[in-house]
Amino acid sequence: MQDERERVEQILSGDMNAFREFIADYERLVCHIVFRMVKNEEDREEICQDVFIKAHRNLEKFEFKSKISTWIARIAYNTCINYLKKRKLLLYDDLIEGQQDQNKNASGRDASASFVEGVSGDFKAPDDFVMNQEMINFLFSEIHEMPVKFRTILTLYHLDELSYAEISEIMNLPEGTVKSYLFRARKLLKERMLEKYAAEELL
Amino acid sequence: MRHISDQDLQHYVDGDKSVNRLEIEDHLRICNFCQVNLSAYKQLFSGLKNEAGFMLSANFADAVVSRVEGKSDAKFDLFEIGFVIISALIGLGLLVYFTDLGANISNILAAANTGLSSTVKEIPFLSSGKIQLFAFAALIITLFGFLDKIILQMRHR
Repeated sequence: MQDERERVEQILSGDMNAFREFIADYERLVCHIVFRMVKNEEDREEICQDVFIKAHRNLEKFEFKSKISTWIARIAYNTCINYLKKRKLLLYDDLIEGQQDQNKNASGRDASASFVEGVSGDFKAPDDFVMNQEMINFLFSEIHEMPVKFRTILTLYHLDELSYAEISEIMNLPEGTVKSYLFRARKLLKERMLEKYAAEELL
Repeated sequence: MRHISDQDLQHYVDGDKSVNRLEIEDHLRICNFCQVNLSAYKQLFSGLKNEAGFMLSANFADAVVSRVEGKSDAKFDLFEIGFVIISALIGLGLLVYFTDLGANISNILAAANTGLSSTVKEIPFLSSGKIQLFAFAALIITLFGFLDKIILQMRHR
């Protein structure tokens, strides 16, 4: 925290090298949020720039009550939300339940139920799963079809390894809601994978 | 047979200690359905950590710094314009206060007929020898020049 204070003071005194270090430290986090929330590739980088410009402009108001990473992630999240609202892009939250219903097959069974027929063998608990490229492409395309809040929570939790409390602060949502959205998003993606791939491909 | 819930499977893969791991593992040994669900979650969690496609351009920091400095320059430019306008108004005010501006302008216009040398002599504050006025004007010019230098230094910092 002391180092962060020193760097903030350096940036506020006009030290652009300190600001460059600041950008280097947080550009990955900002990039994750913006790239997951904004589908339009042409606008993404400019939005990332806007986030750092806003951070530079408002740094003097930062009171060190939270981590800088949380603060800048919140700027990134709000900048993207404003962009989506301005472009009149839907947030799709009202479609979530409908999407889950589509996962039930005609017989009313869960998609995964029919999937496992014929699978047998001793259970092994592999710790190092590595997804192949085709699956990753499929996963990413499915993620981009999800509601923006689901996408953001998945990114902050899995890619940036932030806690529920930090995600809650960034997105201004109760912790319980964050947990619930994370659970539903992951269940939805798992069901999509089970619909798409044979059991043998996943085991 | 009751299967492991999705919630417990997610917690299990997350490494959450709130679930009974031994109980889950015992069930997994005998249940293909839950094995596949678990594998799907493990694949999914692995895929969610993949950073492919998250890439900013190499000159990203330069672009941000350039935009920040551009905004600072614009702010200083506005400040300078304001400074020049205020300086001009102060100068004009001093000129009006210390001289009879209307008469001087008439004299300058009359110079078109009588020649510059005679006009200069007819300007009251020049002919009356008010040296202190020149000194004051020089002081004002020096002061503004000094302030301008400070602003330039701030811009280049």
